[in-house]
Amino acid sequence: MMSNGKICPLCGSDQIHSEKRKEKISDHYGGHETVELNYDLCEECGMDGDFAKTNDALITESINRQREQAVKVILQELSDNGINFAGLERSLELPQRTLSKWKTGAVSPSAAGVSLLKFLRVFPWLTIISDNNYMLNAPLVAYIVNYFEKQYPSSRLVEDSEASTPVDIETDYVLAEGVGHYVSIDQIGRSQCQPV
Amino acid sequence: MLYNLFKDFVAACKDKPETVEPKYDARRDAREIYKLDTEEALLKFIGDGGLGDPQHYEEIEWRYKPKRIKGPRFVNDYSCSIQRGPQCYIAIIKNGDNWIIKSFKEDDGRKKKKIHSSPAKLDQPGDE
Repeated sequence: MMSNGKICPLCGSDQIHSEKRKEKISDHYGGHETVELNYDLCEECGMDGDFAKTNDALITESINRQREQAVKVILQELSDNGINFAGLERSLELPQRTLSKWKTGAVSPSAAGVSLLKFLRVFPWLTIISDNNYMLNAPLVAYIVNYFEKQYPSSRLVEDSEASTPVDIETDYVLAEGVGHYVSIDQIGRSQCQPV
Repeated sequence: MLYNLFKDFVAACKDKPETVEPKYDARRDAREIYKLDTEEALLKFIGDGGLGDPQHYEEIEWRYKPKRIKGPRFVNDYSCSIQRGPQCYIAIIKNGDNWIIKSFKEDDGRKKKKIHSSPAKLDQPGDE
């Protein structure tokens, strides 16, 4: 039995055993880190947790490091693929030099900014949609169909009338059946994504 | 009223998060399964209505209640829907004015047969 100044939030006992536990915090693009988190166990009642509330800060620091790494990786890939940052910033209506500042670490992107980059990494054609003022038209749909055909050759691309699962909007195309979701685009350019 | 208990719990997460204590495994599962990385994120998520359509499984007396706590305490567990995430299993304990999140993990469906009444039914007067 030991007392280390911590109090059990459940029973009020000060008989708290504390130790470090290694936990993996990961980000698909930013890699992973093993972080030592604080683990407190009340020896009187068995309640466990983070009684001193220190783990949130440790986890947040780790996530921020991985986000910075993810941003660098994604921006480097975009750059390697010939995407010009100035053009991308114009298309996405971001202030000029935003992406460069993110890449050098001069400014950290918000969580929303990191999510945007991850979407662009997975769906690079989103930039074409932003170029078109966030509207779809027939040539763009054809482009996206072509993209999906190349990206997911095993998926079945069908016209709405052939789709095995009905979609509840008036649909011109159903894309990417076979990857677990329908991505459908209606006649005025709204898209929906729904599980099969 | 069991459904009101859940509503009280959600209200506590929103308005008095300092009264809600997740156990270590509940926090880890919330992080690993639902990307709710921090305790703050977890409680805000619950407080902002992230758990939908709670279905009560059962109320059982808490076997490991500390001796210094007088009177019975109960574990209530629920199956809840989470938009764009797997069905969630959450077990909570009300301890006076405080709450313990005993579990927060993916619902494997093993307790589904124990759903004995709908939330609406539990909300009826006299169901105490």
